[in-house]
Amino acid sequence: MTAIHHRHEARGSVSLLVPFLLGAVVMVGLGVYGRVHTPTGFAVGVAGFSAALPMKVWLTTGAAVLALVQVVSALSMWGKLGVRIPDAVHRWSGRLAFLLTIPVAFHCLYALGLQYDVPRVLIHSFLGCFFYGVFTMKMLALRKESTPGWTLPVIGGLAFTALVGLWLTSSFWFFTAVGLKV
Amino acid sequence: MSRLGPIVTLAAGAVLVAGLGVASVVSAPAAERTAAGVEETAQAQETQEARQEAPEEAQEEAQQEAQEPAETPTFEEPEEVVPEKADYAGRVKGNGGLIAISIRKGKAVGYFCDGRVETWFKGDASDPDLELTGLGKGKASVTAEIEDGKAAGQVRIGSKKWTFVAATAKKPSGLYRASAIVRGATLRAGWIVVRNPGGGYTQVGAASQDGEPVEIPQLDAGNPTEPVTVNGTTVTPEDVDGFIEEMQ
Repeated sequence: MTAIHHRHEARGSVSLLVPFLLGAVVMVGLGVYGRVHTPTGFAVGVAGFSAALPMKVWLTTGAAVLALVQVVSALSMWGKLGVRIPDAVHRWSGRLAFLLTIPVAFHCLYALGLQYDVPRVLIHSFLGCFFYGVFTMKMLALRKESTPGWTLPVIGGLAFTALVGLWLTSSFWFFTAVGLKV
Repeated sequence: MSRLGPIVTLAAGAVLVAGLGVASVVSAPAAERTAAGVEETAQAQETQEARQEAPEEAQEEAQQEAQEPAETPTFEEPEEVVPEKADYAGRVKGNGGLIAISIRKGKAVGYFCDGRVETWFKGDASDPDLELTGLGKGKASVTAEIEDGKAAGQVRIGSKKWTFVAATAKKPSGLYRASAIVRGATLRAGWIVVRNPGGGYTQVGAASQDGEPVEIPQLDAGNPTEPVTVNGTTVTPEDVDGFIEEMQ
């Protein structure tokens, strides 16, 4: 029994190899692009805000709030809450959060590029690349049948942690340094 | 659960990125589009030769546009005078940056910025052939000819050079600067605002506190001298009339 169990575990981890590698490619690819491409200082974003930074700050805040929904709905999925939140809540809050981050990351990488002049910007740049790598890995891991039990909690937790870090180094910084500007 | 769901999610993200990319490229004016092309060739090969060749190609193209019409009239109208007051702003070919040059009573100031690199320049403006020197640590200069309401020339930063044609800038287009002393540290910020041919404005800026780059806010393009917050300090951007004295 133990042997069989063992074999299953090993096979499970191997099934994560492709998601892991593709996630790594996304992460490194974004970082290299952000460094190699000359920032334009300009990018098309979401209308309705006074400037690019407030747009990014609020979209990121929206994504961070949805990320909290993600954690709560995931806990329910794993039976940790005693309440059953419909799966669709987790799925759609995640999708929406991901889509909200895209215009933000696009502006970051296209208009500003990867930078590391000050610690906040360095942490933000690296977390940003890491987030999309982890997210890609999670999406691909979801499709695998035989992944180890820890897969989704760990990758999901990393994505959540990265997003909170991104929020702290961007929106939270903006709210404290500039104010609640729309 | 649909096995395709996660793939659809990733694909939706990719489509959104592609849409934003296309929209950004289309709405960026022509000079920036050529710039992107040149940039790609330059960065494909990291060797220094490649880096020097690409701007030169761009420069050859630019010379046909910029210098052909410029040279003849200089000889025909030697008494061409420099305006007392003029503002020029435009795109630098081949590097995605903007440049602004302003003239006030025989003095000229210039500013180049691409969002990452910034350099202030100043010089004499008694002659329509401007020669401005960079104020920063590195070697930098601008040579430009003022003619027909345009400033056309070259900007050199370190060992690289690019050409530009900067048209007369009418407010809110132009050059803005803000400075402040914060707890003994010097905070400086500069912005260039350029009207897009298709409407709207492109702006680029950079800020530093004691020489360390800090995040720069966007100016309100409709009213660029509205106060903004740079690195936690509220500063009021000044137009050239406001800061030219400080620069001398």
